Amino acid sequence: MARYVFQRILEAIPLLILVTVVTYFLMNITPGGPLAIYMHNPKVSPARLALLAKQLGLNEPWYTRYFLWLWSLLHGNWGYSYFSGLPVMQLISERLPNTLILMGTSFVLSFGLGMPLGIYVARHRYSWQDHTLSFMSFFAWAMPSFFFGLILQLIFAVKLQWLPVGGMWSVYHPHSFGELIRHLILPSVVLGIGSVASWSRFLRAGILEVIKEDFIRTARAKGLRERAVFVKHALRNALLPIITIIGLDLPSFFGGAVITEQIFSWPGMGRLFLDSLNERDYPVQMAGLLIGAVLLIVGNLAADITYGFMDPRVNYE
Amino acid sequence: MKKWMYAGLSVALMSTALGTGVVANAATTNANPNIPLVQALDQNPDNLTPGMGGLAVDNGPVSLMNAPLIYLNLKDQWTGELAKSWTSSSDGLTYTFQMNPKAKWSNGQPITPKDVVYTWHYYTNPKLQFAYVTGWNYVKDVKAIGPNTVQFTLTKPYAPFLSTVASADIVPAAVFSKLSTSQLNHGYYDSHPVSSGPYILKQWISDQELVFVPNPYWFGPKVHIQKMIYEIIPNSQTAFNELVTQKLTMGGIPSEDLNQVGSLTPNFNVIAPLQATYNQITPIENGFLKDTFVRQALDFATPKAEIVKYILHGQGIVAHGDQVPGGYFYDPKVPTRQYSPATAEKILKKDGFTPGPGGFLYKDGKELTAPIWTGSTSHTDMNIAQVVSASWEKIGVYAPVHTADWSFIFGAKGPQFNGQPECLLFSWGQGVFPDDTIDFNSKYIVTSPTSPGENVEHYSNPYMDRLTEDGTSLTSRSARRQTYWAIQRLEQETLPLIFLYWQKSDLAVSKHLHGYEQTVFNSTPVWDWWID
Repeated sequence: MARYVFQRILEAIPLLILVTVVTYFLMNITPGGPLAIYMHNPKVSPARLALLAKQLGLNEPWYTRYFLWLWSLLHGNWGYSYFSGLPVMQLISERLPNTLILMGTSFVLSFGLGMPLGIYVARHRYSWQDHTLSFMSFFAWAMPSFFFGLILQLIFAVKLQWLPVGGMWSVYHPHSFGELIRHLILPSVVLGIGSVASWSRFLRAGILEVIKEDFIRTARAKGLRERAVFVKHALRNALLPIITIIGLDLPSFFGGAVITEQIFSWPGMGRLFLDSLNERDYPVQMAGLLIGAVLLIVGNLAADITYGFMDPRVNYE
Repeated sequence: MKKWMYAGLSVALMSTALGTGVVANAATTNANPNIPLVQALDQNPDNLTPGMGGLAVDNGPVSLMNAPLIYLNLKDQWTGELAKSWTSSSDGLTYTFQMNPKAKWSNGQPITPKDVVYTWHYYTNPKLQFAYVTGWNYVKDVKAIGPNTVQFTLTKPYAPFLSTVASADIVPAAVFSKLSTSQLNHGYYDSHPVSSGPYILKQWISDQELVFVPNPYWFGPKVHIQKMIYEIIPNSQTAFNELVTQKLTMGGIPSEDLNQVGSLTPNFNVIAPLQATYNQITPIENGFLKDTFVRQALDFATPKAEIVKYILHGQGIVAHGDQVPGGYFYDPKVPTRQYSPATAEKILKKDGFTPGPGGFLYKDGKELTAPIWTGSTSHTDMNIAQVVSASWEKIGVYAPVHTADWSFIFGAKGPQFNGQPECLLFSWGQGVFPDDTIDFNSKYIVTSPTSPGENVEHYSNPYMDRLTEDGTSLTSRSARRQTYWAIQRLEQETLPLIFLYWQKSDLAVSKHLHGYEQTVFNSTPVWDWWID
């Protein structure tokens, strides 16, 4: 197993380098640029613009800047934001915990509701409960998060005033765990509801597929109790595709959810990267893209390893 | 670019005016200092170090902490703040400021002429990453000529000196001289700011909130609000919902929520101050758009009043020039054109255009075209472009609408530089002390994305060149006004731009907040505000 993991990591290195080269190139050929917001601005003289371009190293060809960025990165320096001047790692470290709190909560919600729901509808397939929950799942799945978010905000924050409109804390109350939970409810529901719907559908389909297999029939023929057949054989096999889906979702745990963070004023990674994209803040953009790529690879690897534990037929030796 | 375009609006909404206390303190016994004043910013400020911030949202928080030598009061008059008084030489080359001996930094140290001298060195340091340091290049020398007197000497007369250099934030020499250029460039000061203004920064949680409390060493009138909070709310609909639930003390009302103003009125006063932002169409003077008669015909064929009424729902007033209506430099007698497609048709016919294939007008075998480009992010601009296009096509001008990202429109491959007659529809800001040189002087015709200036239209007129140069060099305010009146008449006659409207912006102000007034460029000073 260790050898397999090591091999996968080695394979990932050229892939990551390729990803950074391509994204750096694409970023630089995009119209605009970090100084575009100052162009033709009467308050910013051409001499000042030229000086800023020189100070930020923007006069160098893109490949020179790329190698400088890569060299700094290899020495542990992720660079500085062109706009705030702050170290990129500081910007990320200020927001990463907030994103992990929000995404972790939505994951717990998705997993906690999606799995039982998937099992329930699979065990009651073609019943009215199955049809009703399937309809609701498709409805939730199809609902755009910005719309759903605003609707929830309008009902629970504006009309009923049970929950806050947005933010992570209230400016009127001291920070407390209870305040955090109140602020987490709406954004985590908006983020989680789609996953509840999709994961439950995938699990339902997986269970219905597996339940027809010969080994299930064999297990029953051996006289195993139905509960044991379902949990040990059917569910365990049906979970395999879900593991892949969750593994691929890992980067979003870091990247946050841009729309939900915008609507609920959640101070997370999504907003940081959206702002950096709008402002062409290359160092922050590159950090986000690189970390996202690493997590995608790690997520895939984690899913493959988990496969090994879940499915004895998979052997990486 | 877009951010700058709307900077005027943001400053007006977010800024807290600073001043000397000329305006009487409005505190009453009903004031409740424990209630915070909460405003929204749509983005995290990028930098609070004087001169370093590049975003419009930086202005509000920065203005709470910093006192300049002079500031502009509600009547658009310069008033002393760190300076008690000032004089200027008749040749416009020397400005002398008497500083307030009571002025102190928030660390208890006095604010002296040495700080002003250091500020000059600071803003002209080529190693520091400034964007906005307008006017300091005209400063030849700054000297402390007494314990409370500082004198600026300029390289040549520079009319906007007071609005650029003298109203810049002064930095604490003793603090800044201990910081390296790297520390200043990389936001070190933001976590240890020292205030000269009425408030100091207590807490800044990125992307969440900035909290300010009164500066214990503030030398000006006492403030009545013990906590000023800026919440970072990126979504305008969310900010509106925060207003409805009274979590914000004041805030802008998005145009899409204007029909819900009724939900605010029990608790808020809704005001609609004019913004220093005008919407216009820039005809790039290629092909037939070089012809003044064509531009005049297009102006006659543009239904400005209908745009204001039906698209803006009345949230604007028709524009006939680039000076803010009601402002000191605005010429109320400038001739205007009313919407008249018939007049437009007559002008074009007289100019030699005749109907041709497709129902469009032709001259010398060439079709009269004026494609309209606008940004793909503004629904209002896109709607206006469609209305203008339909109106122009009614008189025989082929005017298809194109939408794209602004970075493309103003980029090297955009319509600015393709040599074709194109029109750009966007908003632009105007300052309280205008400088039209970059807009209309032929030296500032934009030939590449990095060209200086904003003469996108490629307008060239020797009389306008002279007027715009006078506008920046005449030191007499009344003489400058005459110059800008002449500029506005020339604008109407030759139409470098087709002016559409001046924007109004609805602002909800809590009925519990008192002493707050808003004009185009300014608001009452923060110490006049109190909450009951």
